[in-house]
Amino acid sequence: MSEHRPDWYGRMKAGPFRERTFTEERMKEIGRKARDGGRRGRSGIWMYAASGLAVASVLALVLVLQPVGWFGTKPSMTMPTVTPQATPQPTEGPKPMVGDFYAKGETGLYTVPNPHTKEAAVFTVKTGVPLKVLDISGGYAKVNQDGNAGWMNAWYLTKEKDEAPVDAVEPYLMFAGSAVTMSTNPEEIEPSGPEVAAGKVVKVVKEFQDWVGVDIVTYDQPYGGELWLRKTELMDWDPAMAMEGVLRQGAVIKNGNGREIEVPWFNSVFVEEKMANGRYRIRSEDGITGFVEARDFVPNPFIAENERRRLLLSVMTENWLMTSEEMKGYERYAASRDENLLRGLPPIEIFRYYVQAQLNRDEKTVYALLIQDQGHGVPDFETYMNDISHDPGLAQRTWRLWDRLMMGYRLGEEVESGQATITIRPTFGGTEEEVRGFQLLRNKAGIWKVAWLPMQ
Amino acid sequence: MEQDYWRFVERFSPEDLNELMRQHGQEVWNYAYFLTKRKDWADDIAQETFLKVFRSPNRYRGESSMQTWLFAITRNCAFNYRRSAFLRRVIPVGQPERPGREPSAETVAMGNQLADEIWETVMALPAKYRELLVLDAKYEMSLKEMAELTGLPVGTVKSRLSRARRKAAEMWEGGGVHERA
Repeated sequence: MSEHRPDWYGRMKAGPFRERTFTEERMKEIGRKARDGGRRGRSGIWMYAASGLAVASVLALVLVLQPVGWFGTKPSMTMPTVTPQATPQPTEGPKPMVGDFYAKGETGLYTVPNPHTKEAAVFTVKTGVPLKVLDISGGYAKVNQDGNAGWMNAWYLTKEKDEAPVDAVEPYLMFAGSAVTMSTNPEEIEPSGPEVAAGKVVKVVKEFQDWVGVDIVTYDQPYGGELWLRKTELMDWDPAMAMEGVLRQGAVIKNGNGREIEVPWFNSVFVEEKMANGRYRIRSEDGITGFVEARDFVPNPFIAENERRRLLLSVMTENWLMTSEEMKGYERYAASRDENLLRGLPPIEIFRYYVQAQLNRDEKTVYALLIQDQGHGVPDFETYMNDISHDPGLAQRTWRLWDRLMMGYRLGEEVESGQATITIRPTFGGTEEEVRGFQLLRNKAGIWKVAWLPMQ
Repeated sequence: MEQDYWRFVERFSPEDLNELMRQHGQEVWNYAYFLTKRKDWADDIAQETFLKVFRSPNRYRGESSMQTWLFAITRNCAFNYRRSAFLRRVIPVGQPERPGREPSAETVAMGNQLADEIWETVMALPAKYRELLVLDAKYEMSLKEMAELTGLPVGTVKSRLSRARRKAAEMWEGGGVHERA
């Protein structure tokens, strides 16, 4: 900053408190918890659950790791009264509690039966590994698997070691066409979970017969555990109809009086009304209402988590989402498809344009972004459109592909003189085989364009 | 350089964790306090920050200072913590109560624990001004670093920081703006 630093700045160097507040005692406690808690592997359902459920309440993890409690020592807290209840279960429940049980699928263990809070699962039970049932309360069973104890949804219990019909799936999006009440496990006769509004976006992470297990983003309804719906109660994600998402960086949000207000771009917002003037009335997580340009609303609330991870990862990552300014540039280009508007844009920006055109199902713009020079194998526009029209499921598959990548993969840009690759790799872990490359080439005019069949 | 050491650690050992906490623990706590204005929350957030760092493979690559990198994690934790704050009311009976929960009594006693009176003024600022002012005055971050950390555009950081300084000066010097240009 060009302004001279004020004199009173020096007073802020020390403090805010005179005494140390991060004491030796505290450090020892953290050290103990780190050793006792062990390292949590990011695998399977745990990762899907953690990433979807509002980043799994931090507080819950702290509560769980109290030295007095589950893991080996005598519990000193009062447990809720233990009454084995006869819960109406369509599938066979754990009537005698003796012997080995198994889980029908991976599911979370919680510190309480029927968690109503957004408490994170503290462990994930595995299939095919025996577990002992210690207690039953409501629809939940206190179990112990390999020394890990906690409460799990009792519907998952089975006596059959090989009965594992609940599948974890690569997450994909759906949304509620109309308001719907969710269940805490498949086959619930009366849905006992929270109700979500029409337009709510869900991320499917599990499947069981005609049911789907989902994650949702929520800030006003405490819930815990799992959420299940019949697939028929949901619709495939459609960017035009999903009403929940995030705002672009740089988006201007105005309140009813026309004054600019502040909504962090990565917080989930709900579209309450699509106005005639091309603006949306949105409601933020803390109940603030504002108005934004339609272009600044991204109808996927799950992407923010992935984008935010950039702050914690190496700088060799690029954002998926265009900022508000960049989006204006895209709209200008899509309106005219004038190649000169692409001059000077780096490969990553052309890539973003391409993804946006795909999400918008704007085939003309998609085609215009392809390299048109001779010798690159690009078919003429007629042929291109013809091929597409013969594949009715293509749009849906294309959306699914990009949603999946945008929620769980991060981008890098590698440029050589005439060729560029956008690397797409899993945000967490992943192997070299899972890294994809998206190819771009410089055309004769020196402008970056997408290669034909860019991603193999 | 510190950066050069930490970025080659694949996973933090308990000894590494201790070293990190010794070097950065107080500032991580301070930052959490600046963001939330609550000592008890700062306790939890600082703890969670270090546990998070310990439990995952090391992602620090030396592109910023270790302190800035830790601040980004702290910031993330603080936002999540704030979001789930209201849930504490619905914790089921039987959960162990968290030790050391003094609600607003602490703010009363705050006055005589501060390192300098200026902090009363700073803590009274609105959150968005307070954060930037602290990052500038106490941690001497560049505009670019502040933008990266907060997710705000550099222009917004600059104008907001300017306003923050003016507001703080007004409150501190009691009405007049006496900054030397």
